[in-house]
Amino acid sequence: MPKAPSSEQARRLLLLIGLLQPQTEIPLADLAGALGVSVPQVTADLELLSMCGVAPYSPGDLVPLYIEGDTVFVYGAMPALDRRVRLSPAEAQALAAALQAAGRTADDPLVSRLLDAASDADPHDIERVIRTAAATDPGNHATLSLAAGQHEAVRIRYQTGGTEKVTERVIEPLALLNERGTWYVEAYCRMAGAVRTFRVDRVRDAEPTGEHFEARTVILPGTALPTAGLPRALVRFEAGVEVPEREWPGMRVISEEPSGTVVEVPYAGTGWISRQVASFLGAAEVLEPAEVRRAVAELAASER
Amino acid sequence: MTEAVERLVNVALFLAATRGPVSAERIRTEIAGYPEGQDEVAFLRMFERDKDDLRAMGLAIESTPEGKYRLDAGRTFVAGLDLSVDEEAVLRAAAAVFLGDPSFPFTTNLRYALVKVSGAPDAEIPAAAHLADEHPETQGATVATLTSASSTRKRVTFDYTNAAGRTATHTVEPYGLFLHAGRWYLVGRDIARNEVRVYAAARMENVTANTSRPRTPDFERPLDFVVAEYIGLPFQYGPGETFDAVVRFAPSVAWRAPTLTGGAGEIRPGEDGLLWHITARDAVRLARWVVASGPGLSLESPAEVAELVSSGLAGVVNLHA
Repeated sequence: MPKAPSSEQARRLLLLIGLLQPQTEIPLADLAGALGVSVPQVTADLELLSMCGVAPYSPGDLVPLYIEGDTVFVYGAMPALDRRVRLSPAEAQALAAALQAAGRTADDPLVSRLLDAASDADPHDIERVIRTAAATDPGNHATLSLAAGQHEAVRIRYQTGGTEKVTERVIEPLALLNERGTWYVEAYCRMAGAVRTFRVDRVRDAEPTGEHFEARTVILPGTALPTAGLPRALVRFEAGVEVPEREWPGMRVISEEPSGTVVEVPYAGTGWISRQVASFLGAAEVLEPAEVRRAVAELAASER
Repeated sequence: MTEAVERLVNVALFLAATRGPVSAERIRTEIAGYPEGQDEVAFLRMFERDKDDLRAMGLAIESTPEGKYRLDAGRTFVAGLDLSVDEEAVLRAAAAVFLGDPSFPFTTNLRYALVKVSGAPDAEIPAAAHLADEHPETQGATVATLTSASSTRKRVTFDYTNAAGRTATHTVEPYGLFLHAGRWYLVGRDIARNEVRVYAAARMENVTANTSRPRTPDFERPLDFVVAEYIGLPFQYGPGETFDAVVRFAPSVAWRAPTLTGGAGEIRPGEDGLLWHITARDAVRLARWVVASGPGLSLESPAEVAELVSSGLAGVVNLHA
């Protein structure tokens, strides 16, 4: 049931108390960012908070803050609640769900320690009713996300999509992306000399190099799998076969005939598309280009 | 609204600042925000709501046998949580990615949880998520309603259009939810059918939770319920009988087995790589999955499904010759 606006605002005010350390100056934008609200909203919250306190509500009993320009000044200690409040059941559930999605399930030491110290919730109980787990190695995920935050180059061994080829390369992780539960890292690849997207579950090993790189401005793509500018293949599916519209990014149906459905699909390299077509075990045929037809035939022949 | 917000904060500050239990009457007289001249019943009703709201924010407000109230500091404040810089960064990175995803239904709670366990962030790492690819806003809102109903154990009613295009109204006891390959699913007992079923959130419309008697659960979740047991691989669905299959992971790709199998079935060491023992229902989908997930995967048994792979790949070669 949605909470009343008053209790949502009160919840923010109590969170703010925990963030307002005595004798500090904090930009309003930082607090707004932490709470996910606008600067005018956090300003209104702080103004209201400055009127709250304990009896007898004389000036010394109220929350000691004032706002000047774009900064809040905290000129004393909070009247109470100056320690971190534990997570509510819904907050614990949200945190556990997010960590699950990063491959950290209830048995992960970080998850159990975190929820044990900060809530009454048992991560195993949460996991029995909410499951967002992604198939990823939490160790590699952690290495790559730390490196993205600290601008540290990482040496990876990476299995290229659809092939057995494992390459070793040094990458500069720029951003993390999650698309339909699958994790990707957007990184400058020194081997390729360009920005590339890597699937985290195909990273066999990830090792920090200790070498820091200059921060770059990252413009996140709208998707981990941008298809603009890629070459297209034409594929015909037998009649009655369900076309993998959601699984093949950027697919477009060209024609639907009684004899089958023809689709156009973007592909970055022949490895991925040839394996996908081969997996239809003869119910899908590449019409063009010739290089993809050849790759499909070679892959099928090698795996028979 | 301002008075209500101020009152809630004042109640929290008062309980946190006061040693020992306090009576409702003292709370009424000492806390700014309760209307003067309010009758006893109206005050108690308002105070009950305030306590519920504050408890939902994480404050452990206890009633004593004498009918007084106190804040249990041990259960209210975080204790002994000393995250390393690296752990904190891992936590932030894992969670921050979902803050902008409309299909992640717990965004606000996640944001507040992060503030509570690690304070305001200095810098975020660039991150983005699209957990659900179909109508992410709608799925996120639907799952928020379903999760709330599941937590409070209230029944939900929705119109559901199945894969065949037929729409019907269902009333379900929402046991749990899972996310799989871009879609959220509800698992619950369908009241009319009296069986536990799986529903895709993207196929639901007009989702409502039972609002009558909000403090009284409508159902009890079975003690042995585990939502993960309902997450299947593509070849585990369908009308056919279940059968046992063994998939071999060659040594060169054995490292991928834990993530590819997603915890389903059992992985055992074999003479040449790993052997994954799994149940399946759909032989064709199993054969396709093995090829699509390769290289380095092969079917050890059943022999007829292995033959399906082999003859299917021969057909692919002929078709593309």
